[in-house]
Amino acid sequence: MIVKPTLRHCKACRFVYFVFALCPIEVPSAAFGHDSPATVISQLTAIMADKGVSAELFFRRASEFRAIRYYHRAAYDLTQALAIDNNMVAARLELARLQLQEIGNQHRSKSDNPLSRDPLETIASLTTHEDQAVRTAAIALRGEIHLARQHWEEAANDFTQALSIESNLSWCLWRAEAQMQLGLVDEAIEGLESAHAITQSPVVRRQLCDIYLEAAMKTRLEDKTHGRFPSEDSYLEQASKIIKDELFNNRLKSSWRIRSGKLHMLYGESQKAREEFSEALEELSARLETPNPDPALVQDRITAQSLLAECTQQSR
Amino acid sequence: MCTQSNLIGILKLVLVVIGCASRVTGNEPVEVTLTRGPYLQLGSPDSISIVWRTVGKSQPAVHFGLDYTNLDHTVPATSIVVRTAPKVDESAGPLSLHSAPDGTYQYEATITGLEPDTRYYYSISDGTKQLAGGDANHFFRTHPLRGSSRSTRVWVVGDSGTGDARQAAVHNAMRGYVEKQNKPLDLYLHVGDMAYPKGTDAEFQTNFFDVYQPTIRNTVCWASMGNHEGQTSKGLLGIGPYYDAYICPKRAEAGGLPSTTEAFYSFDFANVHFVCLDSHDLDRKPAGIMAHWLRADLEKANTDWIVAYWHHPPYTKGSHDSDKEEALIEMRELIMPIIEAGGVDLVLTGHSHIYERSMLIDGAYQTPTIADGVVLDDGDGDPNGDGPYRKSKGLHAHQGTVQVVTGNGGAKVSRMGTSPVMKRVIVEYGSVLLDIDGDTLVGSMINRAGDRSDLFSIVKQGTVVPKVIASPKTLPPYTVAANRPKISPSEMTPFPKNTITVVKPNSEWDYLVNATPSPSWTSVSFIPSDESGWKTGTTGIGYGDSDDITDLKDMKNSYTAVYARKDFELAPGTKEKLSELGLAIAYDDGFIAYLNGNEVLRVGVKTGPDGKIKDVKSHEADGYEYFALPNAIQYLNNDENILSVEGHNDSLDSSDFSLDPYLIAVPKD
Ligand SMILES: [Fe+2]
Repeated sequence: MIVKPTLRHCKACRFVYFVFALCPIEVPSAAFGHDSPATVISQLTAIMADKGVSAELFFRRASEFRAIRYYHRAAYDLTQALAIDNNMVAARLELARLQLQEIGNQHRSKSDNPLSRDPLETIASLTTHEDQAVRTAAIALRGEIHLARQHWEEAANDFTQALSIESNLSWCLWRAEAQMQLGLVDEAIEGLESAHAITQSPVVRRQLCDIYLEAAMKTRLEDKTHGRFPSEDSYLEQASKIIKDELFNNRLKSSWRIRSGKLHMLYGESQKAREEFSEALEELSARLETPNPDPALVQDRITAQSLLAECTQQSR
Repeated sequence: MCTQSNLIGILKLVLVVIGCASRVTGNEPVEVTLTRGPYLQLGSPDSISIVWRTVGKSQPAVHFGLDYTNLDHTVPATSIVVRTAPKVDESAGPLSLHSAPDGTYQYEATITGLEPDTRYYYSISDGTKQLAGGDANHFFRTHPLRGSSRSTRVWVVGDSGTGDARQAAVHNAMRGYVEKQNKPLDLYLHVGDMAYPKGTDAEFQTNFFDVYQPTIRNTVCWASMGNHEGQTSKGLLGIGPYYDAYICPKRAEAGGLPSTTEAFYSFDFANVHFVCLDSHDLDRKPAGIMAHWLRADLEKANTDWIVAYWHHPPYTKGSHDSDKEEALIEMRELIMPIIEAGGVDLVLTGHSHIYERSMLIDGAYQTPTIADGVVLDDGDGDPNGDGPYRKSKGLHAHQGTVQVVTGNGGAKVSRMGTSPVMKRVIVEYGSVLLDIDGDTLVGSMINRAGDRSDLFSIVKQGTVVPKVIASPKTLPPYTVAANRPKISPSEMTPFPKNTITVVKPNSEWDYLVNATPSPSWTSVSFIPSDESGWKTGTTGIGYGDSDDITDLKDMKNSYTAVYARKDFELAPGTKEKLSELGLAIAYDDGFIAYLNGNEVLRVGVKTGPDGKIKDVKSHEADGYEYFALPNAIQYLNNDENILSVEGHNDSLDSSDFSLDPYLIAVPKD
């Protein structure tokens, strides 16, 4: 029998600030541990009325407001916390996070509400913070804000900067997304390939496969000779490897059949592509036989249907 | 009694023990003490990890074998990962623990190359000195091969981490039940909140490891992150006492797909696939990594059953409300569609301090939760009642899921309403046992007295076409306030101003009638069991006068005494801030009140309870009367407390009886 040690990932506790930037906060005190957020809010409010306010109390109440989705009240309390203690990193990061959530929100809040202010301004001071962990968190959050605003170049740069200090799968995936928007196909692939080599993450593998397919498509469109570039072949080969593997291993195959169909389309094999889309639709219809389907599967069905129609048209 | 010779004997023994466990490093002898474990982690068909801690550096060794009298395999110390308390060893670098008492060393031995479904015995040692094991109590059983169909028993507990008598009672009740059936646990799932209040290393020690040691030395605890652990441990980086304590699979070491994090993961056991999510501090959005991973994991899973578990319940009206709180709403609206499209059969959660178990439901994602259009079987799922829930053989999307909220493992249970999808709502301490055997899954809630309070089953055979039930039979709405008689404070006994209510009026109490209670019935450790006649009811309790909520129709001419007890929690530090504790009570005719087993007030009862209650003075209930309890504050505990009141009628044929107490306190200044 062989005995192997397991190495585990450890970090110093100073990353606590860093983590605040990334997690929804929930910091009720010991005394309020077992109560519902509404009860804790009334208890905290009573304490504030009785003993006076503090940045800590505002911050704690904000986290409870957030827990019951009273985002306006949470933002207001965080602003109050910062008014008392301008250096409260956790409150600043959390406020920016709530403001980021508002980007793209159809029903934008009124301009006098702290929620509708620019999150970039909220965290500006933190992106040059003396503590590297805080700085990294703030830079990654700035990347997320840029991503939400479709400022691809700024987003990609911020994630690259954050990734140079700390590895993080989400930042890696987001950076690849921004890089693809910028047409930086090889950079996107390189980043994801190295992440996949280390983690074997199925999430990275999916995005990587999609990017291979997208890259092959882009290369073809840009290629005036209508022949296949070597790079296109290599993209298709990589995608094919992943797809075959996944189709072999998975019980539910529809999303991989759709990718396989796309691959066949790129190879010009429209009959095979049609078969894949049809099989994907068959599996999807069984999984969508419910009044309340998974929205992602509904989207898959729309994709498969339109690609099937496209294929059928092409072959006529 | 301690005689001189006894004392010398004890001293000798102490010296021998210290001598054996000490080693000389350089010139200084270092005492090595086992401080945590050994406990098991990360089992698979061919591997397992054994984890323990010492204070003082030891030469770690693990011996194991098929027979505990012959542990013929040895794990060399060089193959055991050693992690140290912060600052113990500057050179330890990344192998430092997030937090641990000074001088702590944590050892993580992973054994591979084992036979599947096989029991091995083990011991842990410091050099040649055995620290634990090498006996019939220290063993592990490897997982059966993936896909094999062997009966599987799983213990599920949530919100247990109080470290008090309730937690211990729930654990002991499960152990007693399992022992009686002679059917040991294969797995232990913890659905979060295992170390109140903040999930610190010390709280993990007292509220998890110390309590569960007899179980976790034989059974792997597969943990999920609760919000209380979340105060000191962070999912995105995998740091904190929670991540120090557990080794969870991030590279699909025990089946499933690599999650790359210990915060969420999956594994297989025989024909069951288990999926653990982090509902606390990770992105729950469909575009987030966890949701993407879940989708991929469920697409690959190919067992007979899928069981998913996490902390925040998608459906609850216990101590939390799933229609109002972000984490709960998002797990329902965003994660449940993936779960049900992936063919999951059972969802286990905690957070809400209650036991709630649903009907067979599907597609209940909207807010607020309603029963219309989402119930596939409105029966009780009880094989002895309406019959088990039925699904097709194998894994299928949208054939129905059963939801179990088991946040009743130790922290104060309470209820605020009824979630429309629930079939059972039980405000009782307890935990859940799952038995999965071939095509049948059976779930039992074992309360802290060791009784089975709920039983449900899912059977997967042939082809079942799911059909939504048009008007499902749902539980009646929860009405605390209905028919509540209005009782006002009596003018005879003035109440102090600025009080806080410690035990609310008209709350749920345990009570016993027509029987003599156990002598320890007023103590914290006493467990009121159904078997011994204890019931629960809302105060006031009594008959006649129509001023009672819990009506004792059989009391007149039958018995004269009612014993009632109520548990309540106090946050640490509260006791010191109180200047007075007082009982408000409407009563007829007399009563004796106790706080944590100590008599604190007696009104209208001259003698007893020792011997016989005598000389009960007649008294008509006329509103709540206030009685200060001058010496009672000293008896208060942090966390769990018990207020007990025994009420006595002056005669068997009295026209009425009432016992309606609540507890208030006056804060200092
Ligand atoms: Fe919780």
